[in-house]
Amino acid sequence: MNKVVVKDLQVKYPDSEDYAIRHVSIEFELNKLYLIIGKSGSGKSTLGKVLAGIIPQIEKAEVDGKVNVLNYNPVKTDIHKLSRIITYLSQSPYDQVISGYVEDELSFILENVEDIDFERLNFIMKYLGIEDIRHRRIDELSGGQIQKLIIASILLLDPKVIVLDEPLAYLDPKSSRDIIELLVRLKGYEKCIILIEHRLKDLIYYFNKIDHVVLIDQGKIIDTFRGSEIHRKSKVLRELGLRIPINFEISILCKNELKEPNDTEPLEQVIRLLSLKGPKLEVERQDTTNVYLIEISNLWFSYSSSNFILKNINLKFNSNLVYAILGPNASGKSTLLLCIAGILRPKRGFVKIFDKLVRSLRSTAGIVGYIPQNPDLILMFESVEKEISERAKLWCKSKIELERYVIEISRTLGIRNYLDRNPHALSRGQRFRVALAATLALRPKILLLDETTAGQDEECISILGELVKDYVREDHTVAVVVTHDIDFTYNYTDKAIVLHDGKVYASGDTIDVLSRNDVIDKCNLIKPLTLELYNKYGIKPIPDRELMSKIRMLGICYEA
Amino acid sequence: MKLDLDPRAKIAILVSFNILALTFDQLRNLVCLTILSGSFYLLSRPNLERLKMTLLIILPPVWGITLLQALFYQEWPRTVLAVIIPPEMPVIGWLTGGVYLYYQGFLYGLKQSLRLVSVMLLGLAIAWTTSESKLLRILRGTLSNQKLSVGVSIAVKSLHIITNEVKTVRIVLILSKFNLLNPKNIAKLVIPLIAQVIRRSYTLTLALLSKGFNPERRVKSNITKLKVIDKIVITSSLGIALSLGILKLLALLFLLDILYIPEFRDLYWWVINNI
Repeated sequence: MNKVVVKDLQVKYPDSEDYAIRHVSIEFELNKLYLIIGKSGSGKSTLGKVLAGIIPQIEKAEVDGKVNVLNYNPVKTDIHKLSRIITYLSQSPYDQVISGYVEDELSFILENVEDIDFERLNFIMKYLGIEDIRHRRIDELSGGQIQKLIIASILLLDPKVIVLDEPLAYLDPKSSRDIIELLVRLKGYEKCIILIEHRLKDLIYYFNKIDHVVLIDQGKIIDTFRGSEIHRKSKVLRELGLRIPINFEISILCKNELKEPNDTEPLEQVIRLLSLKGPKLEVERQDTTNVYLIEISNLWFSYSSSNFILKNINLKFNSNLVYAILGPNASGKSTLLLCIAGILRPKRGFVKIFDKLVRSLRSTAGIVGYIPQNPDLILMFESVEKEISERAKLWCKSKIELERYVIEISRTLGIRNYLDRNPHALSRGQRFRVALAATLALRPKILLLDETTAGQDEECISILGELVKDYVREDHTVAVVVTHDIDFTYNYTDKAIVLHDGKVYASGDTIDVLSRNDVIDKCNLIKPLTLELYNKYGIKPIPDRELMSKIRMLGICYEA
Repeated sequence: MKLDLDPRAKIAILVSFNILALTFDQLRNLVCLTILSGSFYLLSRPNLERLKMTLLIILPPVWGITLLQALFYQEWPRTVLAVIIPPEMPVIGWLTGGVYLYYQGFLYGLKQSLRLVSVMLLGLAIAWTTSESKLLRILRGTLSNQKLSVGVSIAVKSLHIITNEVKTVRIVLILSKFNLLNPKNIAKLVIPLIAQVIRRSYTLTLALLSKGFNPERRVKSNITKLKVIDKIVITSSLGIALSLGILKLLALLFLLDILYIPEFRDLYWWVINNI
């Protein structure tokens, strides 16, 4: 039997009363690419782990029903033997490497398995286009290159079934496209590729090449359909809480069916009509006072005496605004953030916050709130409630006020039911919300976010965007976000600063900056779909959120 | 530390230092061992960040051990260096009979601290100057226990990741206005770090599986031959350390009335007085 067969599968975790997977029956065939989609906690990863034998062999859970992977029962087969038949790749590529150099990482596998030779290794490296990084250190590689290296390492073992759990989560848009194209090519080599994802926006140009989409919700398979038919399921996808591409949204709103998943005609029609509405299309500019919360003047920074990472940075950050700092790897984005927070001391020039010189980290304590790339590092108390209250205590005047605040912010972030739980026992998305609540509970005047959106799902990203935007407006503060996420920048930030080679390459209103093709090229980004269309028709762009509300307000859909 | 030494030679030096730290009883020997270890540490050219981290790792246990031994030294003879609580002080003085800092306790605590510091400094220097890839290859080729060899190299590789995480948590603590000197806040520093280690271990387990790693199987690893200098370092360091260790053991057996070899009488005397 050359396929994967799942019959009436039920999975229950020991600490849970509900089944994570309920009566799932499905077949996966070779030479096909499958996409499993569903909200966080819907059971996608659980299904993938059962197929690979990780559940119950490594992660304990109760498993009922039949699973057959190319004539092997993954529940009972020795997991080391199984790894040559089916492989499961987890999310973060950075935590999956063992060695320091690319060649050593691949040699590690050659040492583990005797029947692979260097010729195969050379072939795979050439096939994946990574021969030029063969002798490089892994920590110098981009996320996309590391992901390719990990895929190369599993291809060496030549498993027939490959399960990839959110492989795009940490990648920039260009790298994401590279990886998807690679997976499409790979299925032709007698492989069954099972891709678990919820970033549908990144897949928009590839749905036609996906053989089957499996839609999961609350542990059940709701629907299966061909990838080329996904646009017909837009409504269901949205009802299930998945973030769908903007052309899908417009087609629902305007009741104008898409011909194929990457059909942009209804969207283009709407944009053309909107442009005729003249002045109403203007972007709502935020009222900015001339109060500079942060002033950076002639800032130079280096770790050694000569090699400057930041060169002559001059910037001013206004209150009530969200700023994005963009730039390719090693352009100095995070270093600039650390200089603002007082963590790094400039070699020349200065940073002023509220007109006071930033001398050290202690001088910004209580003023600056900082969310690092890994928000889990913020979580240091035994309950969610304490994570919030211990920080809010610093400014709350009474116990009642404190209790009220904890309830209010936990409700806003959807973590009200977890207040007594240990934050580290929550899911990744829930931990992210707790970290956000904990940082906002400090009521910082300046909010610094370092690649915080990396690896988070769409729901968390939109919550973050909305909340930060509201927070800076209501409290007259400023937020500075270092990011690679073009959609986040486009939809939730007011100003963008582009760093290149340690210098400010471009700065200004986000939409103006992102409309520049040279900026997109320098930062290795891909223009958001709508921005591309605005530029095509020479129309002043507006963020997708505003586009949707304008459509509703102006009744464009009916005309379209 | 000479950076191009083979990892096996570096491990041999570390093992030798461990043996010597346990063997030496004389303060001057332990001071010499620590100075030697400190020299290796400085040769690894630690930057300011690493120096700060080293102090953070070393100072609390050194200070704690020395002070505790000086305060609670129970052996005789003992010389009072300072009186912390006089015996005539109401309540506490009457109950405790006075609290003193003892000279001999201080010396004893210092010796224990130097044992710790000499090994720690060298260990850090080796971890910072050894490529994790080289270490992994060597360990896999040398040790029969695959779990141990992969575990050690992953631990070395994780050292800088954990250092960065410690820095991040410290930043978050300071910005949140939590007092780092408050012992309660030490738990706040540790909780996120432990949670991260657990999560990373799980991901690494899955990663190892996807790379065909089987701890039960012995692997053939292409390890390079030792250079002459490495062979000299391994032989001399282990030779000296093991010889002194065996001599110390013989002297201990003599002192405990378990084994006495009359021909070694002068040697016993030399070991007791000089090692």
